[in-house]
Amino acid sequence: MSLLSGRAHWQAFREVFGLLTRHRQLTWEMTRREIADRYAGQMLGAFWAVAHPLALMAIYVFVFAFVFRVRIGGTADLPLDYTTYILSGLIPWMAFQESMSKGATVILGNANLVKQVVFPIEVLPVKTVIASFSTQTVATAFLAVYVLSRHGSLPWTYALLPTLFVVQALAMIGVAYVFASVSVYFRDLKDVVQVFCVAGMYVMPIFYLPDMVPAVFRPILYLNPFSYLAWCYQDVCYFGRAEHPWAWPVFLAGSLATFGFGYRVFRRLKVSFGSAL
Amino acid sequence: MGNDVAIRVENLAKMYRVYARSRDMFWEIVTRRPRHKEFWALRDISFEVKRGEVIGVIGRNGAGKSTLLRILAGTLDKTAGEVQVHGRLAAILELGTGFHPEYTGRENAYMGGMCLGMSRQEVDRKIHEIIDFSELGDVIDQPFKTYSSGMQARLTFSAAISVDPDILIIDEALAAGDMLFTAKCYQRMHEIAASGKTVFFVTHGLNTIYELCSAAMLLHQGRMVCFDGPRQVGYEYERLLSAEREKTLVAHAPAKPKLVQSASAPAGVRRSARVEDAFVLDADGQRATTLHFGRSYTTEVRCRLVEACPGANVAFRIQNSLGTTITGDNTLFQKIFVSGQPGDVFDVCFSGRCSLANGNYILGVGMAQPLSLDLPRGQYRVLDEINEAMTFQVVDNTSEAGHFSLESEIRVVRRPDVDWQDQRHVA
Repeated sequence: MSLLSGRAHWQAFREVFGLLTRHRQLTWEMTRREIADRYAGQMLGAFWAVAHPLALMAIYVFVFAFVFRVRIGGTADLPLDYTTYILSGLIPWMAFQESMSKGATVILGNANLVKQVVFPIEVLPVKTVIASFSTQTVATAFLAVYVLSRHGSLPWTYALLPTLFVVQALAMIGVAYVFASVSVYFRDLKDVVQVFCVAGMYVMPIFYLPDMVPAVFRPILYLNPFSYLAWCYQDVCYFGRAEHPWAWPVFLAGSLATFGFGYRVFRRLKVSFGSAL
Repeated sequence: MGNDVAIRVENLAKMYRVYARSRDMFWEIVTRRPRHKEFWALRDISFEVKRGEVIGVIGRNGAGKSTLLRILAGTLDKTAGEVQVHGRLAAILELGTGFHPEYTGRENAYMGGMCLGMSRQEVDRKIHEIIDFSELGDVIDQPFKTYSSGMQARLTFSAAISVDPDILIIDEALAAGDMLFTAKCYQRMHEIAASGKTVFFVTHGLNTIYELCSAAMLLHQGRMVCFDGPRQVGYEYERLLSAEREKTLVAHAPAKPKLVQSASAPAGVRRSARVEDAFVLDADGQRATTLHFGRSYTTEVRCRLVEACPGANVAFRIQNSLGTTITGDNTLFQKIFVSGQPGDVFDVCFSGRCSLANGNYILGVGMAQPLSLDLPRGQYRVLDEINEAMTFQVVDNTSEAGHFSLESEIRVVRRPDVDWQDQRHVA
């Protein structure tokens, strides 16, 4: 399996999109279920789908902006306030880590569907990703309202968000495909992912500026692929300009490669899901 | 020719890698040294099923039935061989799969239908049909978790057949339904088959196979023992079961292994007499399995006394393919008893004209002994019996009324002395 073969990637794209078009109703229905299932049988139901991410964001903002009292922003270099800075990077990361940990269990958790029903299982990782975007959409709307009320206007770059969503979704689907298929054979993966999700947040520039990091450790930031995700979102939501121009091509190319690679891993491993589950 | 084949399987084999610990698989990949045991769930399976057939799969637990069905359904990969499935396929492999316990029956029917490949509009059109067939109209809007397992089976079955599949695969899912619903499912399976579709299902009931199937398959330890008419397969299955029973008997009672052998011996019982064989002879003394209506035949039962059994009597019974007893005879009816010394062998012969209607029949034979000689028609104990000693068919009967020809002598008598008008007045 060559990572660089353009034709193989193109083929993977065509397969996934053909599949999703054919089963779009099923995909949509399953996504809806995925969101509702988490809270099915609970008193407040879908309320938690909104309340949960908002509460998490509130906690981070409280800790970093009020307890640690980091003071940045309000200058030409750093136009908006620190809360906005945190949220711009945090929101996409929260959605990403949610899709990673859900993706790692999606095949295992639906073992009866995979084993018993003649069913397009490629839909399963995709629906977790789409469901994660429900969190991100709510949180981003919250951020936009916050910026509007705090600063009176939104940077024009917010119009680029849909494009970023699509690119991010490609990366998330690719990662979900890899984790979903590999975790069938190595069930420990879901715990590895969970630990990584907690740690990952601190090895990318979400709560701090890269300049605050001692020069020795700075290469870690540049090696972490998720840093580029955070930088792109900070450009759009915080700086309102291309502050990290090199992050964009890296993010785009990385997402496309991850998507193609992920699907091909999944396609190769799925044949023996039935035996392994 | 190739068009009417629904399923073709050639040399199918399935091997599971069994790892003692889950980390063994990891080390196997890293070190490339095998650390698994091989378990062959299926070996050398080849068969062909045509459209419109109903195939029953039978076999003991662990024979590979579910593995075969899952491979046909496409949810399990095969290790070797060829599997071709022509047409849209729906499978019920387990109760309520893809169904969420918190959702209502109606929502689950939608999800189930969509998982099986229908669009939302298609389910919209069929939802009434699904609910009607499941007979769950009253509770369809209650959560699925509140349903009994029989009700869950109903909804699963209803959703699966609504897909209108070309091939329907069912794995023991119907066992939970009650008799009425099961009968209705069988009726529907008949209809599905009659419309040129194929049904492939697992069951443990021989009767189900006799009533429903055009052919049956017997699996044992991953191999296909036979794929034949339902009766032949039923016979093979009974033989296999009796051989298995014998094995457990030998294992448990090594001292007297040979005393108990026959088909329906309850485990661990020491018999005082045994039915050794049973067959039908024609007028020339040849064994026959095809009987001609109106000719004379002799049903012979060969039995051996293990102990002296005073008052022992021998009987046979003829059942049709649905298991209904048509007729039979017993030495007891004519006060004839088999008596002798331990080890004596007797042939008991019942001779007579064959007046059965055309069809397939099962001969069952047995020996019994009255509990008390003073009560010859009272309680008795069964010494030995073979429920399905052989099957035979009857041909050449030209009348078609039931199972048995009364061969009535028919006369028409003209009665000029009776006036029709009078008759009516009397009435």
